[in-house]
Amino acid sequence: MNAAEEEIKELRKRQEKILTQSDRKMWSAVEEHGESPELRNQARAKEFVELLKDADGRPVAELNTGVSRRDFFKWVSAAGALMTSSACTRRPKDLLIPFVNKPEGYTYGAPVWYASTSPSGLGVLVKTREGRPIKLEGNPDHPQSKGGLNAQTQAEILNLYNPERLQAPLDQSGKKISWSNADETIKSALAAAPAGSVRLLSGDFTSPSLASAIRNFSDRYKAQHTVLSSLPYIHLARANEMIGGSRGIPEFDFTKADVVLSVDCDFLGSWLRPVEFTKAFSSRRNLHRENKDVNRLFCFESMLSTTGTSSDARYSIKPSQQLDVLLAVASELSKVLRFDPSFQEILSSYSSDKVGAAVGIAPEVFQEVAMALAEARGKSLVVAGGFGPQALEAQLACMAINVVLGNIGSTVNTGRHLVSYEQSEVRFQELIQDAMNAQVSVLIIRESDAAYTRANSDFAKACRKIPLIVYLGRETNDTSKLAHLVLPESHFLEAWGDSEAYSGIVSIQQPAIQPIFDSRSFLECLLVWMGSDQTKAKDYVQRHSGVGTAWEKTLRDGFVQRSQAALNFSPRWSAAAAAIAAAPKSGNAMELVSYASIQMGDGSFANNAWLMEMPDPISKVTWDNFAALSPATAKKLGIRERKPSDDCVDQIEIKSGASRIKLPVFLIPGLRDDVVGVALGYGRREAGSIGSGVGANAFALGRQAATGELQLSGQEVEVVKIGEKHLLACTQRHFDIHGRDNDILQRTTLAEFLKDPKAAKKIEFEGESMYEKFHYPGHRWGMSIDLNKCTGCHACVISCQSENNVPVVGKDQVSRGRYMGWLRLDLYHWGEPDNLEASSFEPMLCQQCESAPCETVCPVLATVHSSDGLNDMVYNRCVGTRYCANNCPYKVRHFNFFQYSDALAGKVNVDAASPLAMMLNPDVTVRTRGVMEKCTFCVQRIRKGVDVFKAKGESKVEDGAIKTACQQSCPADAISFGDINDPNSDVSRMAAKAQSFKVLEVLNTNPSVSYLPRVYNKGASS
Amino acid sequence: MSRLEEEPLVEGGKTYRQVTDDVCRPLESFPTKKWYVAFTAASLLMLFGFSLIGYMIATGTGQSGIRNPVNWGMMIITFVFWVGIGHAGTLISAILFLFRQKWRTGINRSAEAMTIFAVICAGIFPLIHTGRPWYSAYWLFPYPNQMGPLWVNFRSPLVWDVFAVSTYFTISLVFWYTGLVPDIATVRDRAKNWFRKKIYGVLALGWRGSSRGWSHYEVCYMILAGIATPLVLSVHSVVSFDFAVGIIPGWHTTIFPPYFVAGAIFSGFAMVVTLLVIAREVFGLKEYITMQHLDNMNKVILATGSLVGLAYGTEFFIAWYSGVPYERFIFMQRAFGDYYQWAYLTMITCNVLIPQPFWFKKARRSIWWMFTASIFVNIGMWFERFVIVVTSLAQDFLPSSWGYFRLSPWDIGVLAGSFGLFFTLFLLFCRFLPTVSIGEVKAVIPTKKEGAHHG
Repeated sequence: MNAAEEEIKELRKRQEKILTQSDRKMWSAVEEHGESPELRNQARAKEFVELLKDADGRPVAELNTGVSRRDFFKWVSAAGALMTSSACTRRPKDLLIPFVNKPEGYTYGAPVWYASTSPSGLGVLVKTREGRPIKLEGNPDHPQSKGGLNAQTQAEILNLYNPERLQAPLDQSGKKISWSNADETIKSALAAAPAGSVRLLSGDFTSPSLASAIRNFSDRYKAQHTVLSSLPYIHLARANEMIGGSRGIPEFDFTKADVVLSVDCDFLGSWLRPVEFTKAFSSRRNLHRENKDVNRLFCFESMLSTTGTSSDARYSIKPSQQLDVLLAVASELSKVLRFDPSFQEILSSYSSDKVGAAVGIAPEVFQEVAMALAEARGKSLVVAGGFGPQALEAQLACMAINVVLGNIGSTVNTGRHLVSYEQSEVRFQELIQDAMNAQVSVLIIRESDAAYTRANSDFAKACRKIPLIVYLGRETNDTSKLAHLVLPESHFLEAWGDSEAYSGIVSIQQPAIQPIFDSRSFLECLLVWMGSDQTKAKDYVQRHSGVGTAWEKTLRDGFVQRSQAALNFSPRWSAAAAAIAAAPKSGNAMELVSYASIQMGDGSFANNAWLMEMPDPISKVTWDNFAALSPATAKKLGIRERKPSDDCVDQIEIKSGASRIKLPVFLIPGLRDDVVGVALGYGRREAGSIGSGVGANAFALGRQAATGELQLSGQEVEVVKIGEKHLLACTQRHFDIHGRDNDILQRTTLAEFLKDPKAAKKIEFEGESMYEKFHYPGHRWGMSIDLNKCTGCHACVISCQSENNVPVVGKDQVSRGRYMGWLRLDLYHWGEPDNLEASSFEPMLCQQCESAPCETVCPVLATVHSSDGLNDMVYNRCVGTRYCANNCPYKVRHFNFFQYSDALAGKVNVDAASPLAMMLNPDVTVRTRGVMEKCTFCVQRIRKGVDVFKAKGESKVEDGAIKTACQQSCPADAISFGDINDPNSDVSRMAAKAQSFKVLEVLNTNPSVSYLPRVYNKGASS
Repeated sequence: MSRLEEEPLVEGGKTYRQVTDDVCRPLESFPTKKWYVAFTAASLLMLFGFSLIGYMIATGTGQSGIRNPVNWGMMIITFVFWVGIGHAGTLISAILFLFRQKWRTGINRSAEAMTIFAVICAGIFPLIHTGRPWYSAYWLFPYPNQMGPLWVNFRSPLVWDVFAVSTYFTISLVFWYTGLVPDIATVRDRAKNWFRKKIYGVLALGWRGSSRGWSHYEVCYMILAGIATPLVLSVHSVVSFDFAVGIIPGWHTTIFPPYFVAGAIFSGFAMVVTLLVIAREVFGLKEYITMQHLDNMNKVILATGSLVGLAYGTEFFIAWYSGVPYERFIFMQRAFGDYYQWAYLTMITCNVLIPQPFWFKKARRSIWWMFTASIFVNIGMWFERFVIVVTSLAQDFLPSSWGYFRLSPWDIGVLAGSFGLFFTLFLLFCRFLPTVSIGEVKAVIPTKKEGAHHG
């Protein structure tokens, strides 16, 4: 018997002695009462002494420390209690407000979706969590946008929660007043106003009920409504009126177009309805071995646009040469097709030789374009865009060519038209004149930044003569600064409304949240000012949107289609021919190209940090606009080519008449030497902390053309280098692929492809590995991206940003190479800067490699492989050695160098006190500083999707049930996602195509993302 | 057999007593003004560096110039640089000891001290370069835990680094301290005040200088030298794996282990020369650290410098011979490109060209030349790591992601701060510990009687 056992025996003896000697009658359970004390004591002794045993079952001596186990615990708990009590402070006041009555059918944590409509008329689905919208997705059922969405609409979520929104009505001194006060002021001013002196000024809109409310309002107060579209598209409607006889822009149906000719028309990026056009256009870019039905896009443009990079052949012109090019094509066409005699006459002076010599494009090009168009008679489409001096004439020429080609009724659908309330610029000038003559007593401005977009008009001066200016908008801008009353407008997710972008398709704008601030929509304001009640807005919409009885179904679907009259189209030529003959001729001077960029458009999104930081698709410049010059011109101006180590670039001054702006130079390939390109929408002075003073305002260089309309492009400008430097923050600096086509971006021509689908592959690589293949028992998620479809519109980038709480880092950090976007669209050019042969985008995101170089090098296992093929990021395990990012050949990992998630661009706080915190997707971790992050294929969506199918008792997820954020938004349908273990899934079929390739396959990383090569349709000949 | 007269390893016909007096003098006298000036400057620089580090920990890793795609910058470069510096100490004390190179005795103590301090400097960087140092301080070690258990990733070279560098530091420290014990005892025995006696007494571990003690000591020292020897090769080999295991062109190459070791010894010797030229001047140790010592070290610098040059050439040849376009591209970019050609040229000039005059005895024995050259070699070796780390990352596979890395002011401040730390430690060492191994030097004092034993 060892010492321990002996000691314990001793202990037990002592304990028994104490218990038996005790004369108190102790019982702890009723059953024990009345038992013999002996039995009871035996039981107790057993109960409290339990021998600790070692591995061999021998009892171990309990430590005889003089402190019993009980005492020990007493002290520990007492000490613990003391410690906790001393650590207690008053809990900070929290505002957690649960539903008092939980809505029926609502589950906490489950998203609720609402169908709604963006102001531009795109069908959206609003994802709400716990009552707050967190993400916008395209409504796949919407007949026009078909699930596609653009970057700006994606970014509306940030606009909704922007703390810099107007939060209450303000008077002239900026003091908060109540709505009733404001209403009273306005109503009494309206009542007192002499007839015809009340004016409404708004931008172009698409809402039929708003149109009717404005009509009612105008009737009641004898008011006049002026519609001022910041970007003039009026020429389209006017051209149609002149030739077709009825006003309205016919629907362009790119699905039916085999051959498209675009002259300065960025229809895939910013022209009219790019989402719908991209949807339609890309539906004709599916490549199969047998499919010879791929469309062909010829592009003549003065700036390099996403349409240009998506084209099959691109030629540089300058804005004043639009008409020349169109007429040269027409004159070639006239050799085989009959134009109206009045046209034929004009065309004789626009032979391809003559125009070719003037424009610097080989005459054969016009012949080729004309041949292709003529061959595709009735299945071709000619479009022109831009804001040049011949904007109207170019539209007339387009229309004429489309008529001759027999496209009216097929690709130019007169059965449906684009609804626009846009008015001629002349009406705006009249408004200014009237105000100058003191004939305006009340001016109500709704979200039109006329003081900015018409910076060199007399608008601001005229405003000083108006006794009452009421501005209604979401945020302050240059125009609101002129107003006497500044009223906060509700976001479209907060108010009822509707939209009829295309005639006959009415989409309902359904609010998804109560107004966050004390705001009203324009419709509500009008109702109130007409003596009604703002709560009647919904009824008003219901009555005036023309939905009829099926209101609830319409709300669920998001839209309703109704029959409508076709546009009357009976060509009349004489006026058009006369106009064209009188069109301004192109000169030899340096010309300005102003264009609406995808991210900024007309500048109304300037205070949106997501869009400000969104890389410009072509230049990859963020937080700036710039003067785009050809390398040769830059050299002539004495501007040195930008070295890798140069963060700053030279600035130039662009002078047009009396106006001048200062901009940094950025060299863009494929520009003519006599143009300078400038994006509109920048240089706003009063755009909040994000957008104020960023870039320069190109609207200031605009002028009124002879037609009275605004001309933004093609005016003669003078360009001089000034001695200043400017920091340009770019996310991509090298656009030359350095001959790595086979590894990075495979491309070929259609003719080659049809001969051999593997034509783009120069070398085939067969991977061998020393390691066993990874085994994926269930799903293996994969993606396929069709480079032939991707237009570089960046909708996916902003969608990803919104879905995954990707932070905005600010210009300084972007210039230091710390842009955080998980998904980027690489752009590569081929050819020489002055002779751009081809360009292509390549979306680059985490490739979820099977043999991932990042996984092996992480010392703490913060990035690991999942059994369904993802490279999981374990954010809270990451210590930030950044080894993974170094070792990633695709460079898709992004490191939080600072606490980026705390503020937008370091300027607008995202904290509990800010509404921006409500914008965050609760399913995705907000990353802290010092942590690596990257694309996860929207793992939160995958897990939810799998759970849904598991709950149904199914082992496999149905193909297409899970969509990544980028895929969902892509208007070009370039992204397929799904299970690559399932041979029948969409993504597997894409990946199985012979032409499918993987980026840097030679490294044997075996990515889960495959790409379909870029195939240029150069026609059957080449 | 006639042989050339060897130069004595200690000059000036010192007696045993004089050796002890000379070495102990800086410890027992009041520090000179020069020391104070140097110490103030170094420690201020160190404090400046540490406050910058504190600032970064408070605000974010972004204070450094690192970016995408160059996610490693000054901190990793300087880590490799300091680890490399350390190598000379171990080489001198362990390998030269095993090869019975008696000339090492004059310099091994300070070279070893330099190793320790260099590794301390190096050790700071991997920690602070991480995004969340408060976690990486212990998450990089395999410790028992309840998370699965969740271990470190043994496939990651960074984990190997942790082991390699911590082992290296431990062994170097033990080795250095073991060598110090008899000398500390000497200092103890000479101490006149109680306080000194106690402190050195504790540090001397009860050394009495008995024959038995010496015999154990010698065996122990020999064993430790044996253990330390492979570390000379392994540590920098493992450090080179950080790059060689990577997939990045310019990193992914098998030449790295020997190339790194040669470079490490090269830079380490240069640093020893820099320090000793100063120390022998300031502390009057010219008789102990003789021209012979410096000459020998310059020979090593020449040899390793040429090895490094050979490695540069081999890299280029292999880049061409491999036929890998990415590798060819990056090497052409290094030498002729527009990203970091200046860094490459600095590296070649400092590391390959500057040591060449050491072919001549005159240059090897010119204090000014060797001092200048040794500083340039160290600059060159820092740039070698810059070239490896930065140029490879700046232009890897996808041209779309290329980007130019630039050192931030913070980077430069912390780099300077690490020198401050190094010199602070070294100056403290000179002040409080015998800079020359008294016991060993006594064994190599030229005496009339050959084979005199320790005194």
